[in-house]
Amino acid sequence: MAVENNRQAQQLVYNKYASKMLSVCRQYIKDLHHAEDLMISAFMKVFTHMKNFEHKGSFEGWIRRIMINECISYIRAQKKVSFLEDEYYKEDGFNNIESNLSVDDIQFLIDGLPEGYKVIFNLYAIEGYKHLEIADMLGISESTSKSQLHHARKMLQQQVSKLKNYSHGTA
Amino acid sequence: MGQHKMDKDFKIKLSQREITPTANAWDRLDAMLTVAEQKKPKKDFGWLYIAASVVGFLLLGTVYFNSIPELNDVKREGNNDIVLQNNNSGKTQETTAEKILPTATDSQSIAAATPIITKSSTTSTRASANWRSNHQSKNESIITRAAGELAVGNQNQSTSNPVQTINKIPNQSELIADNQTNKAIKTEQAVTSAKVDELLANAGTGQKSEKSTVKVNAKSLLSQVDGEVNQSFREKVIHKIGRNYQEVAQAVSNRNVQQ
Repeated sequence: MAVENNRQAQQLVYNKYASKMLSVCRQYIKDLHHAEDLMISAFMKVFTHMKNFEHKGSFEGWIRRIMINECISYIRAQKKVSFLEDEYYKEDGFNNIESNLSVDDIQFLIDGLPEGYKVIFNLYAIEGYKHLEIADMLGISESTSKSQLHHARKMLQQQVSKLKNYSHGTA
Repeated sequence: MGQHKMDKDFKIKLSQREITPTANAWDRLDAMLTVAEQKKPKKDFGWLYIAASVVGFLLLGTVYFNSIPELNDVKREGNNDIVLQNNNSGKTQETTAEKILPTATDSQSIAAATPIITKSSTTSTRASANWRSNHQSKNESIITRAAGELAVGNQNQSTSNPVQTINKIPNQSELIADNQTNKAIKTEQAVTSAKVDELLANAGTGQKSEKSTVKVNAKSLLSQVDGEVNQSFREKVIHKIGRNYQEVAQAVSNRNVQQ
């Protein structure tokens, strides 16, 4: 591609996607500086592996996937994440909640989740991956992915309810 | 469904979010990319280094296999050296022999001289006493001259004895008959031949003693010769490697120019 070894083109790509990709990294990494470091290293991979982009999907989606993989690799390297083999999950166990939370509140709630819950919730609910894909990405079983998502939602539901009650002054 | 509404809400709000990175983020990425681009050409030309190393090994192999006959030659030369040394020793032996041979010839001359003396001595019985004394003095001078040519101290002593015995002969010849004088002359000849053998033996021993005084350390000689041989071989190898390197460099430069 023309972007490869063309610093101006690379800077253009960076300027276009950096803020969005830093937001993606921030979903997984609580510390913003670490998130930025991971974004830079992920952009490095983007520019050095530009040949591997097959034009099958969107360029932004390809970059986003590289960002997510970089963050997951970092979390796994830090040994912060552990996926308990819990096959208990219930699909329709939640109330129909519509939150009017801000982005910062949502990020605050997500940051409060355990690493395993957070990764699977982000992958499934935000990024739109299927459980099978998540299982392949993380090296876990599909049922584990479902149970982890169930626990994540349950925790978030409780947190959202607490926030609603707190905002209404009932807590 | 409730969870889907929450997921959607979270997804929409998070996907719309943008976090501006710090100002030096691009500089850091730029530096990383620069370093990566500097490393990249090495990977692209890795095959060239491999090819160069293979060519280098081939050159070393050719130089090595070409040098084996040279080494054999060197070994042969070394053997020749040793042979030369042997020849030298032979020469020394020959020279000793030559040295000895003159002594032998001297002794022969002495022996030849002695018959002359004896002959003269036999005739001296018939000649006058003055002539005898003059002739004897002449013969003595001839003998001493011949003895002086031997240049060995021991030999001088040994040659002086015949002179003394020769000096005695005329006195005896006055008293004893001609037959007796002839016998004495024969005994004198025998004595002189025995003395010559002694002289030869003494000269040989003297030469041997001289040879034994010269000490040659064979190990040091061998190590010196080996060092000289190795030096010449190294120089040859270095010269060949340098020449082949220049050829390869020229070939590479030509290839680059053609590209």
